[in-house]
Amino acid sequence: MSTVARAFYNISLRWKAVIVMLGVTAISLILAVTGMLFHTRTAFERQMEQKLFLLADVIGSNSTAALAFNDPLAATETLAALSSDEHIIAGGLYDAQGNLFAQYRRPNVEAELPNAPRADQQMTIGGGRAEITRAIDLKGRTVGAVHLLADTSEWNDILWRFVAIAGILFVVVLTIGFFVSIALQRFVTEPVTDLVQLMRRIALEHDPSLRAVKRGNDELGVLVDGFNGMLDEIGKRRAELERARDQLRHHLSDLNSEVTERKRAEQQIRDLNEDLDRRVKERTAQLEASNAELEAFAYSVSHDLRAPLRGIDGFSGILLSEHAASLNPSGQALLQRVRQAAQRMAELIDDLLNLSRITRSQLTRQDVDIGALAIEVADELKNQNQNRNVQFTAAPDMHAWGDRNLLRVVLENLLGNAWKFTSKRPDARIEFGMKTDEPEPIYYVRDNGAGFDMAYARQLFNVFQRLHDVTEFPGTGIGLATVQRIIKKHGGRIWAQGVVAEGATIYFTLPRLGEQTATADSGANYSDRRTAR
Amino acid sequence: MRARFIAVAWVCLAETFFDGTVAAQSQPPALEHQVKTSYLYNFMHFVVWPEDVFGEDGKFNLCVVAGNRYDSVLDALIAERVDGHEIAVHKLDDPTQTGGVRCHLLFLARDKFGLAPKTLAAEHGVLTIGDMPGFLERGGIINLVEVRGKIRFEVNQTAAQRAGLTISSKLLELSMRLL
Repeated sequence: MSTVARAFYNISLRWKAVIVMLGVTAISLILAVTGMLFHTRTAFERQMEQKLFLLADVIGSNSTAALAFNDPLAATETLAALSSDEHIIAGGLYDAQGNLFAQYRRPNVEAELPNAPRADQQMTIGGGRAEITRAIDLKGRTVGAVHLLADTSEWNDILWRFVAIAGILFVVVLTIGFFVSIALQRFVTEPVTDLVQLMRRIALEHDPSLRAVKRGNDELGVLVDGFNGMLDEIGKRRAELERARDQLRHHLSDLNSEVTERKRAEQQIRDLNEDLDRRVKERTAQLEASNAELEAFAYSVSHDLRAPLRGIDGFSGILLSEHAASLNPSGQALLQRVRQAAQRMAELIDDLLNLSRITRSQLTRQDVDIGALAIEVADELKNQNQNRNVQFTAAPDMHAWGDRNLLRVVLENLLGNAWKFTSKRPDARIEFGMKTDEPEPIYYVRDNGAGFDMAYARQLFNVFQRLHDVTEFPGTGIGLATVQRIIKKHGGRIWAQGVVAEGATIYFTLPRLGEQTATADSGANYSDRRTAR
Repeated sequence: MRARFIAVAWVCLAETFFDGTVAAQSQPPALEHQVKTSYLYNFMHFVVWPEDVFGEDGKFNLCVVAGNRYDSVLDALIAERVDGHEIAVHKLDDPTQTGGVRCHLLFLARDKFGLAPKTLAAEHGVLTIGDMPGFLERGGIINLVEVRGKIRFEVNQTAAQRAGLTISSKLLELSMRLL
């Protein structure tokens, strides 16, 4: 069944239409013929029945006297009239008791007459025979019965005639139907085949102006309208697409030129950068060379200055000790001042040498317990100034990543400064701590000493910059510069806060543990950059 | 009642012709009388009487002049109906002495024939039946004849017409002889 259906799907639309129309015609014809046949059969049976009943009634009526007066001969004569109907095979007349009274038989035909048949209102038909039994009444009483037996061979003639007519009708109707459906199917299929051809042409020629022709307002008309609308829409879309594509191409070329321009500019920048780099390197090299020269000069000057200074100091000492008698007290005092000046100069030179050494030295970083280091330094200071009462506090467990020796120098300077600037206070307090709530830990040294004016905060870290007179607080003015140098070398920052006569706080940072590798690898460069900011 | 009588009559008829031994077993009334009586009844159905011959009571008067041999079989006909008329049986000794009864059918049995007039005047509305040769020539309408053991009949059509009676053609067809 499914293969038949599949085969039907592959037939072209026009033949489908023809097949459908012919199929419907054939089915209606078959139904009509079947109905007619049924009707004919019924009519035949009714006619047969009517004929047989009529015959039986006539015979019965004509046989009443014969039955009443017991005259079988007369009855047989009456029955003989049946011979005029070729389909009557036999007829029997029965008396009131059901005994056969008289009979008629068609010659050369086998037929059995029943014994005492019961009168019936209906014909029995079957096996090519039709039978009826009719009661014979005389003035309201039954005096006998007639039984008639007929063959139904007539039906076969009727049937064959019917079949022949039906066959001819079938051929004629289907032939006419075939041509009519051929003529009619084009109303349905032509618009569709036109559409199909149009679609093929559109697919082959890509002509956007092609349109289907509408023939009527039926569903196919709607289909054609829809198809044309679709073509319009496609054409519109294509135009839009092309416009968009043009725009895009335009934009693209713009973009291209822009990109090449930008590339050229970038190349220029790169060239300039390279040039700059080269020049920077040259300058740096020059600077480094002159710096090194300068430092070497400063070192050698400082170093060389020490020898005459030692001479001045030494000979002044000998003069004081061995020739004191030859000098009056004012001369001695002057000589004493010479010595002091020489010693002070020696200190200065030492500090300068230190500073220079620090600048040139290499960093060796490690984890440093900076708290313990601070306590160590503070203890040393306490031992040196035992007459001082200073309250020193340091937070426990403070660690830093840096050069232990340099950090010690830092703490010596900062705590030393604090010690120095709190010397005029009886309740001196010095605190070393760390702020951990900042992005990077901030170490600080806080004192309640002389403090300073914030207006000079920036000058604090310059070499030889002093905010206090040397007679007030002794010092060379190199300490904080050294500290700054060390902190910057570690990549950290340093700044100060202070209020005059209330105290000062020096803050500094050291790069965290996580930043170590970056700073350790490119150490000097990194700190340089941080310093430059 | 009527059906049973007819059935009995036909059975007797059959016995008469096909099985004579049964006749011996059934005691008188003789079979011949039974058959003849049933014929009388049957004739009533094939003859049409003019409507004016029936009285106010509408009875069909069957007058029999046959002595007592028919008595028992005739009793079976009492209260039977012919065309809506109830049958009344009148047994007469003399056909001319009807005692005021207007006979519709007058049966003259063979042995009482001598009582009848020489010529039977065709009386209006009276069907005369006999069972003796020469009955028709004497003016009778139907005569019962025995032919080879069967009871047949002959009809005097002229007499019937004269009496104003219409005899069915079916009856005429079966008739042995027509006058």
